[in-house]
Amino acid sequence: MREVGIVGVGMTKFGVLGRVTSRELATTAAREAMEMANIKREDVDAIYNGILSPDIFEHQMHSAPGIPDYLGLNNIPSTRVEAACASGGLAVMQGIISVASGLYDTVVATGSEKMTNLPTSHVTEALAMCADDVYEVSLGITFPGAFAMVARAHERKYGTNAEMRAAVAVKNHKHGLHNPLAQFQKEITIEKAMNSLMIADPLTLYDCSPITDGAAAVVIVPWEKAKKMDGPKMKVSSFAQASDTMSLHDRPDITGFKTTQVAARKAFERANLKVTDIDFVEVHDCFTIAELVALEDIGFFEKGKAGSATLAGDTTRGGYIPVNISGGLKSKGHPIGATGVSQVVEVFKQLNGMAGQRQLKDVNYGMTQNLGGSGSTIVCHIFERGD
Amino acid sequence: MIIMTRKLVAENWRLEKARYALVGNFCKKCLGYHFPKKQLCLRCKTSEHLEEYKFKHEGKLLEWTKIYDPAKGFDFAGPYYYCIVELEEGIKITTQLKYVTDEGRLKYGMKVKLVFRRLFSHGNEGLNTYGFKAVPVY
Repeated sequence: MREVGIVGVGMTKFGVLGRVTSRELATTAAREAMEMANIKREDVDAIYNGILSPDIFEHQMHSAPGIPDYLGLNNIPSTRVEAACASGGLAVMQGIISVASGLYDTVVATGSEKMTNLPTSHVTEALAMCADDVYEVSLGITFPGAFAMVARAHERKYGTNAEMRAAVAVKNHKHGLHNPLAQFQKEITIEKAMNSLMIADPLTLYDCSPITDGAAAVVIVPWEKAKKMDGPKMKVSSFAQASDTMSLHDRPDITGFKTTQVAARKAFERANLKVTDIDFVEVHDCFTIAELVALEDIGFFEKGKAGSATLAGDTTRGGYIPVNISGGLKSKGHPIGATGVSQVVEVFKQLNGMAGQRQLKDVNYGMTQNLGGSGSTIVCHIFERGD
Repeated sequence: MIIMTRKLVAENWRLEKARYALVGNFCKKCLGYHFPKKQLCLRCKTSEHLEEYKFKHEGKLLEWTKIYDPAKGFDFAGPYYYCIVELEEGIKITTQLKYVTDEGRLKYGMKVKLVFRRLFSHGNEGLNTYGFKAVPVY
């Protein structure tokens, strides 16, 4: 396999975006990424689009050809990638693999979702379809419900309490203040988070990521080619993917996700790096407890220690490991298919000094962790500075 | 409910044994249980020693939550308890937890029994879908 780099990124505003389709959002993000990369339109060999369900949200199947169609790139391969909330991360990974293999020289990986057409209870139903339909969904599971049970199990075993979970929400909202593309630029307090509406006991409204429209895109090229380009760039150090049982109840332990442990370990091995080499990380905080569990599963903290570390400020800017500087899913928003791609966009901006007010100092390695279902799919990436 | 397939007789019919009778399988070689029914024993990697097995309706409560914000289709009965149960044979299932009169008395590992109840309906003209729910045994 050849080495691969990313040479341009694009991202729409995340939020409730009104009269626009996921196809238009993906097109906007892809155009921005191609412009930053300064590549010729005809150089694009293929497109991957991470998206959960244009079928349910927009009554559109076979969505992938729609993007090259709007970009004026008809006849190139365009592929839809679906892995629940990890669709975006997996679309980037498929793009990287296809360039690494030597098959393509320039690939645009996009992620998009238009969720706000439907009322909340319908969105909850649609998202629940990412769980096991027969043995979870038809019994009444929701994703807040599944992660509520993870939170309870974690609290019983390690004492991770409501205040620690709220600290994740407060921290990510604080980070999101400096991200103009985030859905929310609003600080919250621990008290407000803990006393908000109960969604699935013990998770409250502020433990949950919002329903969001948006898109993000990256341009992937061989590293040999990237090195010769003048613009911003980063190198793909490694990537890894793992899967586990569809049903949460089939796992021996629900205080962590084996998939994150496996994917992170493989990513570190492939890059020949240690967890202590990583300067900042974007993890999949679809729920506050998911961020804590991810940090423990990757190995930034021992099992059971991420909650108290978050409360102590170890995961903020300037802390031991800055986590979700973009605002995370919690504040930036969670347009399902776009989420994994937007994590990569944030790493790119940080490694190239393009993150504005939220720019971290002296960062060399950034990592992403994108989760699908109740952790049934995990995609991890590690990137390094290109200069 | 936005998903058409939920309303079909076929979807319910093909799941009849698992959903209505808790039928899975048992491996005579490794003495392991599987639910739902697997095509091969996941430990022995063969179908040779598998036989049908009907699970007992008793187990223990491993985890639970109260869902206040249900998915479309489950919003007819207000907030409900949802749980993970380990059956006597050692396999786990998730389902709703009914007849919780005193939440404070729910305990990790407490005994529960399974009862046959309606899972959801499809309006006045549609099917009723039935299956098992758990009830705490205080």
